[in-house]
Amino acid sequence: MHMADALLSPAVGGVMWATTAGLAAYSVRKLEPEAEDKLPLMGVLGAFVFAAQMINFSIPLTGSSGHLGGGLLLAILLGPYAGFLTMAAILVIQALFFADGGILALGGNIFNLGFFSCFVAYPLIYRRMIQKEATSSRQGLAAVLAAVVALQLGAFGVVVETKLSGITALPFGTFVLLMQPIHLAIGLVEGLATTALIAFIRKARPELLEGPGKEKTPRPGSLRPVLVGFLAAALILGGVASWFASTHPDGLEWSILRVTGKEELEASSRVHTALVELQRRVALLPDYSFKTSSEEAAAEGETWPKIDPGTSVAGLLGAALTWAVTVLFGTVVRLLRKRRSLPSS
Amino acid sequence: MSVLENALYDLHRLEDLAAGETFIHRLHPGANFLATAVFVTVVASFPRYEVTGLMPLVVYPAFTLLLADLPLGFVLARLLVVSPFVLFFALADLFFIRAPLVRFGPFFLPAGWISAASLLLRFFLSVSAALSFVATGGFVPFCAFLARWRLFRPFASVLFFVYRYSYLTLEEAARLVRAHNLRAGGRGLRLREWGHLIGPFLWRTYARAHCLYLAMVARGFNGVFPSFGPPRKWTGKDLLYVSTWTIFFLLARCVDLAALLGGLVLGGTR
Repeated sequence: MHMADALLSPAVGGVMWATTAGLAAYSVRKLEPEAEDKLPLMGVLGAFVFAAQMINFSIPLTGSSGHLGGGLLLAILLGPYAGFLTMAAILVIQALFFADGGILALGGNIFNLGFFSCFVAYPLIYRRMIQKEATSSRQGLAAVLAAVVALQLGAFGVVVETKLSGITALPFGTFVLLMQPIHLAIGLVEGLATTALIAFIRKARPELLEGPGKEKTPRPGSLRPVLVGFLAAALILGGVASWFASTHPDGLEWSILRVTGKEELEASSRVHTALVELQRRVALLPDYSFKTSSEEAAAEGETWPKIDPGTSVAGLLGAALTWAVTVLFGTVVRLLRKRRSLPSS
Repeated sequence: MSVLENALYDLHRLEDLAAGETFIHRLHPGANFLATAVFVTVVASFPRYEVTGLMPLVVYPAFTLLLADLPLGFVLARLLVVSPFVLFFALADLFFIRAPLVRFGPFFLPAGWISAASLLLRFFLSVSAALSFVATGGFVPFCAFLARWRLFRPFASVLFFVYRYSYLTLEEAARLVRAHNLRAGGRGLRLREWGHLIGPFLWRTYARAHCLYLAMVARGFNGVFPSFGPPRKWTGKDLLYVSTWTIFFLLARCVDLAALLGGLVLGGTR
């Protein structure tokens, strides 16, 4: 479910970065009194989840396999704040070392995989369900339900963020129908894997389930995680709404036009107008627009970028030259390096 | 090699590369990160039907990968592993955007082909830039850079811990999987077996964390890694590096360098 940089616009990626940085700062603040004690534990458990994610188990009758996601498990063992930070650290390493995700998409990925499991599913579902009676079956059911909800919300986050970025041509409804059922199955698998681990810990080391972060875990009735969630959602919606109003026909407007037949998200209020103005001022290349349309596209009510065959040929030639020069430069540097290393060897 | 062994190999490989001695390795980690962040942002800001305009940007990852001596095959292998999700979106473009965009006589190229090509190119550029960032800058200097902000110091420590202990956990996990494979005759792990295998693994990891903490406290650990050292200062070279690349990225974003170059070769700009 890791989004790549290529799937996000700078606006959505930036808003998600800001939101996640805010959540991380908030988590660090909440963690600070006990941070010293917890840091090695967070690091080692993070490394454990990182490795455990790569150990797949087969799913009977499907021919496919599943693995641990880890967000919920980390929240259960470390508490939501430390769990969120640890999940963020895992995702940073995955993005930088394994290209799983991306630098611009990091904020979105941490939000989708860390926020929903640690700040929504854990306190509002898992903790609540086991609060009265923590039997093994109840713990298992709570883990499965929490994992399913976290994955569903995370998958929906991917859909919304990608659609808001205007990257994909998949209609919103089709995209949701593709993502949610797949992640329902993945959520069930994730829940079962977490349950299997909890069952083991319950037998072997029950004190771990009390969790070192228990004291700092928000009370199940606390509205704080919900408020943080709403604040984050408001940030996303507020920040990104300005970008919808772009005059560019590609992106969300284009997608919504195809899905609904009208551009429903057109700016209308004062706030929108102000944000549109802000976007016009700060956008990279505000004047860049698709000014003309091809005849075929116009017949469908769509606008397309102007295609000038001369410019296209020049562009392709220029691009080929750039790449050729780059390859030539690389080959020369490598040859020089090889020649330099020969006498010494 | 299993996925775990591959991951371990990648970690070692990138760490070895990060120990290089080129000028780019000696840059301030903030300068390296800033240049990479501006790069991926500019790449992401291109319109969805832009292909040739993106191509001159290949100079940046090519330049850094070359300096890091990172083989192209290494990057391409990473792309293949993580590309299915992006390929899915590229295929969706082919399927959903069929309006003709470029005409060659009686033939035309649908807009979906252009947007899919643009998506894949952006994916290649951003992934190679992220890999070259780690291969040239190193991860520990990046953690040290993060640790300069008091608020993010605990996070930098967690990041450092996860990174360092991943070597151990990956090795142990690879051993577990190898042992199972040798005994199970190629049959995959069942969920119950997985639980029995991973549970003790978690237990051992937890115990290791406890011992580690006690050992660190005994050596005076107070939440900040001494190995991060004193903060590095920005130099003129760092600023020049970031500003030169930023100007190039913005230029490539504002001016279609490929078309300009091609126009010059063809005998005049349009």
